[in-house]
Amino acid sequence: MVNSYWDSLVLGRILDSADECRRASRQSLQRWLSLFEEIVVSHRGIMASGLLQGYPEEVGVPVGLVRCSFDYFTAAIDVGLSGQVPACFGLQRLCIESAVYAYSIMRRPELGDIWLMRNDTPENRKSFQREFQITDLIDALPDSDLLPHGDTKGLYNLTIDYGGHPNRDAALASAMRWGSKERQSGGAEFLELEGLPLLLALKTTALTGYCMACLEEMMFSVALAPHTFPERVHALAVSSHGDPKTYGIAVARQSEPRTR
Amino acid sequence: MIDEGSRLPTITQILDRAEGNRHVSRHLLSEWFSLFQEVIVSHDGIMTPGFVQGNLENLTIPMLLVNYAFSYFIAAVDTCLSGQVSPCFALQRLCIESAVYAHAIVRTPELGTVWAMRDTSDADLQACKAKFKIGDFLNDLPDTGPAPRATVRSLYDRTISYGGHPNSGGALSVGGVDETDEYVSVGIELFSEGRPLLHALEATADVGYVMVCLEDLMFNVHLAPAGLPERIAMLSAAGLHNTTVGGNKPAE
Repeated sequence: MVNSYWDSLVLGRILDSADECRRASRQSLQRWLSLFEEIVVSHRGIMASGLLQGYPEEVGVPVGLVRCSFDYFTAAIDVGLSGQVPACFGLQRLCIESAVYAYSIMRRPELGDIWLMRNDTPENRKSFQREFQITDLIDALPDSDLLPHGDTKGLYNLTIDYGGHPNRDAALASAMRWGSKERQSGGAEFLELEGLPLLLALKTTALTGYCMACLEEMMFSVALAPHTFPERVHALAVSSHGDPKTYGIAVARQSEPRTR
Repeated sequence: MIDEGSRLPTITQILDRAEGNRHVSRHLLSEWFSLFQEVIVSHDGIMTPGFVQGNLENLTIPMLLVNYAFSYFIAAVDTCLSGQVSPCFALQRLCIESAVYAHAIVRTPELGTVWAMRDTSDADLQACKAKFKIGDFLNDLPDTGPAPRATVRSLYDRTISYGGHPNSGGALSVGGVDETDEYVSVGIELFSEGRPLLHALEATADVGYVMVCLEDLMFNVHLAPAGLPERIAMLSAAGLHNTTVGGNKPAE
Protein backbone atom coordinates (compact mmCIF):
# COMPACT_ATOMS: atom_id res chain seq x y z
CA MET A 1 0.00 0.00 0.00
CA VAL A 2 1.45 3.34 -0.97
CA ASN A 3 -0.58 5.96 0.69
CA SER A 4 -2.49 6.26 3.90
CA TYR A 5 -4.42 9.37 3.25
CA TRP A 6 -8.07 9.38 2.67
CA ASP A 7 -11.63 9.12 2.20
CA SER A 8 -13.00 11.09 -0.75
CA LEU A 9 -11.62 14.37 -2.02
CA VAL A 10 -14.33 16.87 -2.87
CA LEU A 11 -13.47 20.06 -4.72
CA GLY A 12 -16.22 22.09 -3.05
CA ARG A 13 -14.96 21.19 0.40
CA ILE A 14 -11.34 21.91 -0.49
CA LEU A 15 -12.26 25.34 -1.84
CA ASP A 16 -14.51 26.00 1.15
CA SER A 17 -11.61 25.17 3.44
CA ALA A 18 -9.34 27.49 1.47
CA ASP A 19 -11.87 30.30 1.82
CA GLU A 20 -12.22 29.66 5.55
CA CYS A 21 -8.43 29.76 5.89
CA ARG A 22 -8.34 33.06 4.03
CA ARG A 23 -10.98 34.62 6.24
CA ALA A 24 -9.26 33.39 9.39
CA SER A 25 -5.85 34.58 8.15
CA ARG A 26 -7.17 38.03 7.32
CA GLN A 27 -8.29 38.29 10.94
CA SER A 28 -5.28 36.73 12.65
CA LEU A 29 -2.51 38.02 10.36
CA GLN A 30 -3.39 41.69 10.22
CA ARG A 31 0.18 42.81 10.86
CA TRP A 32 1.28 40.90 7.79
CA LEU A 33 -1.60 42.37 5.79
CA SER A 34 -0.45 45.80 6.86
CA LEU A 35 3.02 45.09 5.46
CA PHE A 36 1.52 43.83 2.20
CA GLU A 37 -0.56 47.00 2.03
CA GLU A 38 2.63 49.07 2.25
CA ILE A 39 3.85 47.40 -0.92
CA VAL A 40 0.53 48.03 -2.66
CA VAL A 41 0.62 51.69 -1.63
CA SER A 42 4.20 51.97 -2.82
CA HIS A 43 3.39 50.37 -6.17
CA ARG A 44 0.31 52.56 -6.55
CA GLY A 45 2.36 55.65 -5.81
CA ILE A 46 5.04 54.77 -8.32
CA MET A 47 2.40 54.13 -10.97
CA ALA A 48 0.49 57.30 -10.14
CA SER A 49 -0.34 59.85 -12.74
CA GLY A 50 2.49 62.25 -13.40
CA LEU A 51 5.25 60.38 -11.62
CA LEU A 52 6.40 58.25 -14.52
CA GLN A 53 7.90 60.28 -17.29
CA GLY A 54 9.25 59.16 -20.60
CA TYR A 55 8.23 58.02 -24.04
CA PRO A 56 5.34 55.60 -23.85
CA GLU A 57 6.94 53.40 -26.47
CA GLU A 58 9.99 53.05 -24.23
CA VAL A 59 8.27 52.43 -20.93
CA GLY A 60 5.21 50.59 -22.22
CA VAL A 61 6.70 47.10 -22.02
CA PRO A 62 8.35 47.61 -18.61
CA VAL A 63 5.14 49.07 -17.20
CA GLY A 64 3.18 46.13 -18.60
CA LEU A 65 5.59 43.69 -16.98
CA VAL A 66 5.49 45.59 -13.70
CA ARG A 67 1.73 45.29 -13.71
CA CYS A 68 2.07 41.54 -14.36
CA SER A 69 4.51 41.36 -11.47
CA PHE A 70 1.98 43.11 -9.24
CA ASP A 71 -0.68 40.67 -10.44
CA TYR A 72 1.46 37.72 -9.31
CA PHE A 73 2.22 39.45 -6.02
CA THR A 74 -1.44 39.93 -5.12
CA ALA A 75 -2.23 36.37 -6.21
CA ALA A 76 0.61 35.12 -4.00
CA ILE A 77 -0.98 36.92 -1.05
CA ASP A 78 -4.39 35.51 -1.92
CA VAL A 79 -3.27 31.88 -2.14
CA GLY A 80 -0.78 32.30 0.71
CA LEU A 81 -3.48 33.46 3.11
CA SER A 82 -5.52 30.41 2.12
CA GLY A 83 -2.65 28.18 3.24
CA GLN A 84 -1.67 26.96 -0.23
CA VAL A 85 2.01 27.35 0.47
CA PRO A 86 3.74 25.76 -2.58
CA ALA A 87 1.46 27.69 -4.94
CA CYS A 88 2.30 30.89 -3.04
CA PHE A 89 6.02 30.35 -3.66
CA GLY A 90 5.33 29.53 -7.30
CA LEU A 91 3.64 32.89 -7.76
CA GLN A 92 6.40 34.73 -5.92
CA ARG A 93 8.86 33.31 -8.43
CA LEU A 94 6.84 34.75 -11.30
CA CYS A 95 6.56 38.09 -9.50
CA ILE A 96 10.34 38.37 -9.24
CA GLU A 97 10.91 37.20 -12.81
CA SER A 98 8.47 39.74 -14.22
CA ALA A 99 9.99 42.62 -12.24
CA VAL A 100 13.53 41.61 -13.22
CA TYR A 101 12.52 41.39 -16.88
CA ALA A 102 10.94 44.84 -16.62
CA TYR A 103 14.06 46.31 -15.06
CA SER A 104 16.31 44.69 -17.66
CA ILE A 105 14.22 46.04 -20.54
CA MET A 106 14.22 49.49 -18.97
CA ARG A 107 18.02 49.43 -18.85
CA ARG A 108 18.37 47.98 -22.34
CA PRO A 109 15.34 49.02 -24.40
CA GLU A 110 16.39 46.81 -27.32
CA LEU A 111 15.42 43.83 -25.15
CA GLY A 112 11.81 45.00 -25.36
CA ASP A 113 11.56 44.06 -29.03
CA ILE A 114 13.18 40.70 -28.38
CA TRP A 115 10.65 40.07 -25.62
CA LEU A 116 7.70 41.17 -27.75
CA MET A 117 8.70 39.16 -30.83
CA ARG A 118 9.69 36.01 -28.96
CA ASN A 119 7.21 33.76 -30.73
CA ASP A 120 7.46 35.21 -34.24
CA THR A 121 10.20 32.95 -35.61
CA PRO A 122 12.50 30.19 -34.30
CA GLU A 123 15.40 32.66 -34.54
CA ASN A 124 13.54 35.15 -32.38
CA ARG A 125 12.85 32.44 -29.87
CA LYS A 126 16.53 31.54 -29.66
CA SER A 127 17.44 35.18 -29.35
CA PHE A 128 14.96 35.52 -26.51
CA GLN A 129 16.28 32.45 -24.75
CA ARG A 130 19.83 33.77 -25.06
CA GLU A 131 19.07 37.24 -23.71
CA PHE A 132 16.49 36.41 -21.06
CA GLN A 133 18.35 34.03 -18.81
CA ILE A 134 16.88 34.90 -15.43
CA THR A 135 20.03 34.14 -13.45
CA ASP A 136 22.11 36.32 -15.78
CA LEU A 137 19.58 39.13 -15.47
CA ILE A 138 19.53 38.85 -11.68
CA ASP A 139 23.33 38.80 -11.62
CA ALA A 140 23.31 41.99 -13.68
CA LEU A 141 21.17 43.88 -11.16
CA PRO A 142 23.07 46.74 -9.54
CA ASP A 143 24.18 46.55 -5.95
CA SER A 144 22.37 49.27 -4.05
CA ASP A 145 21.53 50.24 -0.49
CA LEU A 146 17.92 49.70 -1.39
CA LEU A 147 18.37 46.21 -2.77
CA PRO A 148 21.76 44.62 -2.14
CA HIS A 149 22.94 42.38 -4.92
CA GLY A 150 22.67 39.07 -3.12
CA ASP A 151 19.18 39.66 -1.73
CA THR A 152 17.28 39.22 -4.97
CA LYS A 153 19.18 36.08 -5.89
CA GLY A 154 18.75 34.59 -2.42
CA LEU A 155 15.05 35.35 -2.45
CA TYR A 156 14.61 33.98 -5.96
CA ASN A 157 16.39 30.75 -5.04
CA LEU A 158 14.19 30.42 -1.99
CA THR A 159 11.03 30.70 -4.10
CA ILE A 160 12.45 28.06 -6.46
CA ASP A 161 13.25 25.69 -3.60
CA TYR A 162 9.88 25.93 -1.89
CA GLY A 163 7.39 25.83 -4.72
CA GLY A 164 8.58 27.77 -7.76
CA HIS A 165 9.85 24.53 -9.22
CA PRO A 166 9.05 20.90 -8.36
CA ASN A 167 12.01 20.46 -6.02
CA ARG A 168 12.69 18.25 -3.06
CA ASP A 169 12.34 20.63 -0.11
CA ALA A 170 8.84 21.75 -0.91
CA ALA A 171 7.64 18.31 -1.93
CA LEU A 172 9.01 16.80 1.26
CA ALA A 173 7.47 19.56 3.37
CA SER A 174 4.13 18.88 1.74
CA ALA A 175 4.50 15.15 2.18
CA MET A 176 5.34 15.50 5.85
CA ARG A 177 2.32 17.73 6.31
CA TRP A 178 -0.04 15.37 4.50
CA GLY A 179 1.44 12.33 6.15
CA SER A 180 1.02 13.82 9.61
CA LYS A 181 -2.64 14.66 9.27
CA GLU A 182 -5.77 12.66 9.04
CA ARG A 183 -7.95 13.53 6.12
CA GLN A 184 -10.00 16.54 7.11
CA SER A 185 -13.20 17.65 5.48
CA GLY A 186 -12.37 16.10 2.12
CA GLY A 187 -8.94 17.56 1.58
CA ALA A 188 -8.26 20.39 4.02
CA GLU A 189 -4.90 18.82 4.85
CA PHE A 190 -3.59 20.46 1.69
CA LEU A 191 -3.85 23.82 3.43
CA GLU A 192 -1.47 25.25 5.99
CA LEU A 193 -3.23 27.66 8.31
CA GLU A 194 -0.42 28.00 10.79
CA GLY A 195 3.15 26.98 11.49
CA LEU A 196 6.54 27.40 9.94
CA PRO A 197 5.65 26.82 6.27
CA LEU A 198 2.99 29.53 6.38
CA LEU A 199 5.30 31.90 8.26
CA LEU A 200 8.04 31.37 5.71
CA ALA A 201 5.56 31.95 2.88
CA LEU A 202 4.34 35.19 4.48
CA LYS A 203 7.86 36.44 5.04
CA THR A 204 9.03 35.71 1.51
CA THR A 205 5.83 37.15 0.03
CA ALA A 206 6.51 40.41 1.82
CA LEU A 207 10.16 40.43 0.76
CA THR A 208 9.18 39.57 -2.81
CA GLY A 209 6.83 42.55 -2.82
CA TYR A 210 9.61 44.72 -1.48
CA CYS A 211 11.99 43.46 -4.16
CA MET A 212 9.37 44.33 -6.78
CA ALA A 213 8.88 47.83 -5.36
CA CYS A 214 12.64 48.45 -5.21
CA LEU A 215 13.07 47.41 -8.83
CA GLU A 216 10.19 49.72 -9.78
CA GLU A 217 11.86 52.53 -7.88
CA MET A 218 15.16 51.94 -9.65
CA MET A 219 13.66 51.65 -13.10
CA PHE A 220 11.39 54.68 -12.89
CA SER A 221 13.66 56.88 -10.75
CA VAL A 222 11.09 57.52 -8.06
CA ALA A 223 11.67 56.88 -4.39
CA LEU A 224 8.61 55.24 -2.91
CA ALA A 225 9.75 51.79 -1.79
CA PRO A 226 8.92 51.56 1.91
CA HIS A 227 11.86 52.37 4.16
CA THR A 228 13.12 49.81 6.69
CA PHE A 229 10.73 47.28 5.24
CA PRO A 230 13.05 44.23 5.35
CA GLU A 231 13.89 44.98 8.96
CA ARG A 232 10.21 45.16 9.87
CA VAL A 233 9.46 41.95 7.99
CA HIS A 234 12.22 40.23 9.88
CA ALA A 235 11.05 41.68 13.19
CA LEU A 236 7.51 40.48 12.57
CA ALA A 237 8.75 37.02 11.61
CA VAL A 238 10.86 36.87 14.74
CA SER A 239 7.99 38.05 16.91
CA SER A 240 5.81 35.38 15.32
CA HIS A 241 8.43 32.87 16.43
CA GLY A 242 7.16 33.33 19.95
CA ASP A 243 3.59 32.82 18.90
CA PRO A 244 2.45 29.39 20.07
CA LYS A 245 0.80 28.92 16.69
CA THR A 246 4.13 29.04 14.89
CA TYR A 247 7.29 27.03 15.19
CA GLY A 248 10.02 29.47 14.24
CA ILE A 249 11.66 30.80 11.14
CA ALA A 250 15.11 29.29 11.49
CA VAL A 251 15.13 27.25 8.30
CA ALA A 252 15.04 30.24 5.97
CA ARG A 253 18.17 30.19 3.83
CA GLN A 254 17.74 33.72 2.57
CA SER A 255 20.27 36.35 3.42
CA GLU A 256 20.04 38.17 6.70
CA PRO A 257 18.25 41.51 6.59
CA ARG A 258 20.62 44.32 5.96
CA THR A 259 20.96 47.48 7.95
CA ARG A 260 20.71 50.78 6.27
CA MET B 1 2.93 60.38 -19.09
CA ILE B 2 1.83 57.05 -17.74
CA ASP B 3 -1.26 56.90 -15.56
CA GLU B 4 -1.77 53.68 -13.68
CA GLY B 5 -1.81 54.17 -9.95
CA SER B 6 -5.10 55.99 -9.68
CA ARG B 7 -6.95 52.85 -10.74
CA LEU B 8 -5.31 50.46 -8.31
CA PRO B 9 -7.29 49.22 -5.31
CA THR B 10 -6.03 48.47 -1.81
CA ILE B 11 -5.02 44.98 -0.75
CA THR B 12 -8.27 44.61 1.18
CA GLN B 13 -10.28 45.54 -1.87
CA ILE B 14 -8.26 43.12 -4.00
CA LEU B 15 -8.81 40.23 -1.59
CA ASP B 16 -12.50 41.11 -1.25
CA ARG B 17 -12.87 41.16 -5.01
CA ALA B 18 -11.13 37.79 -5.36
CA GLU B 19 -13.40 36.28 -2.74
CA GLY B 20 -16.49 37.77 -4.36
CA ASN B 21 -15.47 36.48 -7.77
CA ARG B 22 -14.89 32.99 -6.39
CA HIS B 23 -18.30 33.02 -4.78
CA VAL B 24 -20.01 34.11 -7.99
CA SER B 25 -17.98 31.76 -10.19
CA ARG B 26 -18.87 28.71 -8.15
CA HIS B 27 -22.51 29.40 -8.91
CA LEU B 28 -22.20 30.60 -12.49
CA LEU B 29 -19.58 28.10 -13.61
CA SER B 30 -21.05 24.96 -12.12
CA GLU B 31 -20.49 22.94 -15.31
CA TRP B 32 -16.79 23.74 -15.24
CA PHE B 33 -16.77 22.99 -11.55
CA SER B 34 -18.19 19.56 -12.33
CA LEU B 35 -15.39 18.87 -14.84
CA PHE B 36 -12.76 19.85 -12.28
CA GLN B 37 -14.41 17.48 -9.79
CA GLU B 38 -14.09 14.63 -12.31
CA VAL B 39 -10.35 15.19 -12.39
CA ILE B 40 -10.23 15.14 -8.60
CA VAL B 41 -12.26 11.93 -8.39
CA SER B 42 -9.85 10.29 -10.85
CA HIS B 43 -6.79 11.43 -8.94
CA ASP B 44 -8.35 10.36 -5.67
CA GLY B 45 -9.17 6.93 -7.09
CA ILE B 46 -5.63 6.38 -8.34
CA MET B 47 -4.27 7.40 -4.93
CA THR B 48 -6.61 5.09 -3.00
CA PRO B 49 -4.57 3.06 -0.52
CA GLY B 50 -3.70 -0.30 -2.01
CA PHE B 51 -4.64 0.60 -5.56
CA VAL B 52 -1.16 1.29 -6.88
CA GLN B 53 0.99 -1.83 -6.97
CA GLY B 54 4.61 -2.38 -7.83
CA ASN B 55 7.99 -1.71 -6.34
CA LEU B 56 6.78 0.86 -3.89
CA GLU B 57 10.25 2.09 -2.95
CA ASN B 58 10.69 3.26 -6.51
CA LEU B 59 7.34 5.00 -6.41
CA THR B 60 7.90 7.14 -3.33
CA ILE B 61 9.31 10.15 -5.16
CA PRO B 62 6.82 9.97 -8.05
CA MET B 63 4.03 9.81 -5.47
CA LEU B 64 5.41 12.91 -3.78
CA LEU B 65 5.51 14.74 -7.07
CA VAL B 66 2.04 13.60 -8.07
CA ASN B 67 0.64 14.97 -4.83
CA TYR B 68 2.54 18.13 -5.48
CA ALA B 69 1.06 18.39 -8.98
CA PHE B 70 -2.36 17.95 -7.45
CA SER B 71 -1.84 20.82 -5.00
CA TYR B 72 -0.93 23.11 -7.93
CA PHE B 73 -4.02 21.95 -9.79
CA ILE B 74 -6.22 22.86 -6.83
CA ALA B 75 -4.54 26.26 -6.57
CA ALA B 76 -5.03 26.79 -10.31
CA VAL B 77 -8.75 26.10 -9.94
CA ASP B 78 -8.91 28.45 -6.96
CA THR B 79 -7.19 31.34 -8.74
CA CYS B 80 -9.09 30.71 -11.95
CA LEU B 81 -12.44 30.98 -10.20
CA SER B 82 -11.31 34.28 -8.70
CA GLY B 83 -10.50 35.60 -12.18
CA GLN B 84 -6.73 35.85 -11.64
CA VAL B 85 -5.87 34.49 -15.05
CA SER B 86 -2.08 34.92 -15.37
CA PRO B 87 -1.40 33.37 -11.95
CA CYS B 88 -3.73 30.52 -12.90
CA PHE B 89 -1.58 29.71 -15.95
CA ALA B 90 1.56 29.91 -13.80
CA LEU B 91 0.13 27.27 -11.47
CA GLN B 92 -0.95 25.11 -14.42
CA ARG B 93 2.64 25.16 -15.64
CA LEU B 94 3.88 23.92 -12.28
CA CYS B 95 1.21 21.22 -12.23
CA ILE B 96 2.38 19.86 -15.60
CA GLU B 97 6.05 20.08 -14.65
CA SER B 98 5.50 18.15 -11.43
CA ALA B 99 3.50 15.41 -13.16
CA VAL B 100 6.01 15.14 -16.02
CA TYR B 101 8.91 14.92 -13.55
CA ALA B 102 7.05 12.14 -11.73
CA HIS B 103 6.52 10.27 -14.99
CA ALA B 104 10.20 10.63 -15.92
CA ILE B 105 11.30 9.23 -12.56
CA VAL B 106 8.95 6.26 -12.89
CA ARG B 107 10.47 5.51 -16.29
CA THR B 108 14.06 6.07 -15.13
CA PRO B 109 14.21 5.42 -11.38
CA GLU B 110 17.83 6.56 -11.00
CA LEU B 111 16.59 10.06 -11.75
CA GLY B 112 14.89 9.94 -8.36
CA THR B 113 18.24 9.95 -6.62
CA VAL B 114 19.43 12.87 -8.73
CA TRP B 115 16.27 14.80 -7.85
CA ALA B 116 16.48 13.97 -4.13
CA MET B 117 20.17 14.92 -3.91
CA ARG B 118 19.74 18.22 -5.75
CA ASP B 119 20.74 20.49 -2.89
CA THR B 120 23.42 18.32 -1.34
CA SER B 121 26.36 19.89 -3.18
CA ASP B 122 27.07 22.17 -6.12
CA ALA B 123 27.93 19.13 -8.22
CA ASP B 124 24.59 17.54 -7.36
CA LEU B 125 22.79 20.75 -8.24
CA GLN B 126 24.51 20.86 -11.62
CA ALA B 127 23.72 17.18 -12.20
CA CYS B 128 20.06 17.83 -11.42
CA LYS B 129 19.93 20.82 -13.74
CA ALA B 130 21.56 18.76 -16.50
CA LYS B 131 19.17 15.82 -16.14
CA PHE B 132 15.91 17.61 -15.36
CA LYS B 133 15.14 19.50 -18.52
CA ILE B 134 11.41 19.76 -18.97
CA GLY B 135 11.74 19.95 -22.78
CA ASP B 136 13.60 16.63 -22.85
CA PHE B 137 11.06 14.98 -20.57
CA LEU B 138 8.19 16.21 -22.73
CA ASN B 139 9.93 14.78 -25.78
CA ASP B 140 10.22 11.43 -24.00
CA LEU B 141 6.46 11.10 -23.59
CA PRO B 142 4.86 8.47 -25.82
CA ASP B 143 3.46 9.41 -29.22
CA THR B 144 0.06 7.95 -28.46
CA GLY B 145 -2.00 6.82 -25.49
CA PRO B 146 -3.70 8.85 -22.79
CA ALA B 147 -1.03 11.57 -22.65
CA PRO B 148 0.43 11.93 -26.14
CA ARG B 149 3.58 13.99 -26.45
CA ALA B 150 2.16 16.57 -28.87
CA THR B 151 -0.89 17.24 -26.70
CA VAL B 152 1.07 17.68 -23.49
CA ARG B 153 3.72 19.78 -25.20
CA SER B 154 1.12 22.04 -26.78
CA LEU B 155 -0.67 22.50 -23.47
CA TYR B 156 2.60 23.20 -21.66
CA ASP B 157 3.52 25.83 -24.25
CA ARG B 158 0.11 27.40 -23.79
CA THR B 159 0.63 27.71 -20.04
CA ILE B 160 4.05 29.27 -20.64
CA SER B 161 2.65 31.76 -23.13
CA TYR B 162 -0.25 32.95 -21.00
CA GLY B 163 1.23 33.34 -17.56
CA GLY B 164 3.65 30.52 -16.75
CA HIS B 165 6.45 32.82 -17.78
CA PRO B 166 6.48 36.61 -18.14
CA ASN B 167 5.70 36.61 -21.87
CA SER B 168 3.88 39.03 -24.07
CA GLY B 169 0.99 36.61 -24.66
CA GLY B 170 0.07 36.62 -21.01
CA ALA B 171 0.57 40.32 -20.49
CA LEU B 172 -1.30 41.35 -23.60
CA SER B 173 -4.16 38.89 -23.12
CA VAL B 174 -5.25 40.51 -19.89
CA GLY B 175 -4.25 44.10 -20.60
CA GLY B 176 -4.39 46.86 -23.09
CA VAL B 177 -3.17 50.34 -23.93
CA ASP B 178 -5.38 53.41 -23.66
CA GLU B 179 -4.03 56.63 -25.07
CA THR B 180 -5.40 60.14 -24.79
CA ASP B 181 -3.82 63.55 -25.40
CA GLU B 182 -2.88 63.70 -21.76
CA TYR B 183 -1.66 60.24 -20.88
CA VAL B 184 -0.96 56.71 -21.97
CA SER B 185 -2.28 53.95 -19.76
CA VAL B 186 -0.86 50.43 -19.96
CA GLY B 187 -3.48 48.49 -18.10
CA ILE B 188 -3.26 44.91 -16.87
CA GLU B 189 -6.48 43.78 -15.28
CA LEU B 190 -6.05 42.05 -11.95
CA PHE B 191 -9.29 40.14 -12.51
CA SER B 192 -10.45 38.87 -15.87
CA GLU B 193 -13.80 37.91 -17.27
CA GLY B 194 -15.00 36.88 -20.70
CA ARG B 195 -12.69 35.11 -23.09
CA PRO B 196 -9.51 35.33 -21.00
CA LEU B 197 -11.35 33.65 -18.13
CA LEU B 198 -12.90 31.07 -20.45
CA HIS B 199 -9.46 30.32 -21.87
CA ALA B 200 -8.09 29.82 -18.36
CA LEU B 201 -10.99 27.54 -17.39
CA GLU B 202 -10.46 25.39 -20.46
CA ALA B 203 -6.70 25.18 -19.91
CA THR B 204 -7.15 24.34 -16.23
CA ALA B 205 -9.45 21.44 -17.09
CA ASP B 206 -7.06 20.27 -19.83
CA VAL B 207 -4.13 20.42 -17.42
CA GLY B 208 -6.04 18.43 -14.81
CA TYR B 209 -6.87 15.82 -17.43
CA VAL B 210 -3.24 15.57 -18.53
CA MET B 211 -2.20 15.20 -14.89
CA VAL B 212 -4.47 12.20 -14.32
CA CYS B 213 -3.53 10.71 -17.70
CA LEU B 214 0.12 10.84 -16.67
CA GLU B 215 -0.87 9.19 -13.38
CA ASP B 216 -2.62 6.49 -15.43
CA LEU B 217 0.53 5.99 -17.44
CA MET B 218 2.99 5.90 -14.60
CA PHE B 219 0.96 3.68 -12.26
CA ASN B 220 -0.60 1.55 -15.00
CA VAL B 221 -4.18 2.18 -13.91
CA HIS B 222 -7.06 3.42 -16.01
CA LEU B 223 -9.09 5.99 -14.15
CA ALA B 224 -8.69 9.12 -16.28
CA PRO B 225 -12.22 10.28 -17.09
CA ALA B 226 -13.24 9.03 -20.52
CA GLY B 227 -14.32 11.66 -23.03
CA LEU B 228 -13.23 14.56 -20.84
CA PRO B 229 -11.31 16.46 -23.57
CA GLU B 230 -14.36 16.36 -25.82
CA ARG B 231 -16.60 17.62 -23.03
CA ILE B 232 -14.13 20.38 -22.21
CA ALA B 233 -14.14 21.45 -25.86
CA MET B 234 -17.95 21.41 -25.98
CA LEU B 235 -18.27 23.44 -22.82
CA SER B 236 -15.72 25.91 -24.08
CA ALA B 237 -17.52 26.26 -27.42
CA ALA B 238 -20.79 26.82 -25.61
CA GLY B 239 -19.10 29.42 -23.44
CA LEU B 240 -17.82 31.29 -26.47
CA HIS B 241 -21.40 31.79 -27.67
CA ASN B 242 -22.27 33.50 -24.43
CA THR B 243 -19.09 35.44 -23.88
CA THR B 244 -17.73 38.64 -25.29
CA VAL B 245 -14.08 39.65 -25.28
CA GLY B 246 -14.75 41.85 -22.29
CA GLY B 247 -16.98 39.34 -20.60
CA ASN B 248 -20.59 39.23 -19.61
CA LYS B 249 -20.23 37.94 -16.09
CA PRO B 250 -21.19 40.41 -13.41
CA ALA B 251 -18.13 41.58 -11.53
CA GLU B 252 -19.59 40.93 -8.11
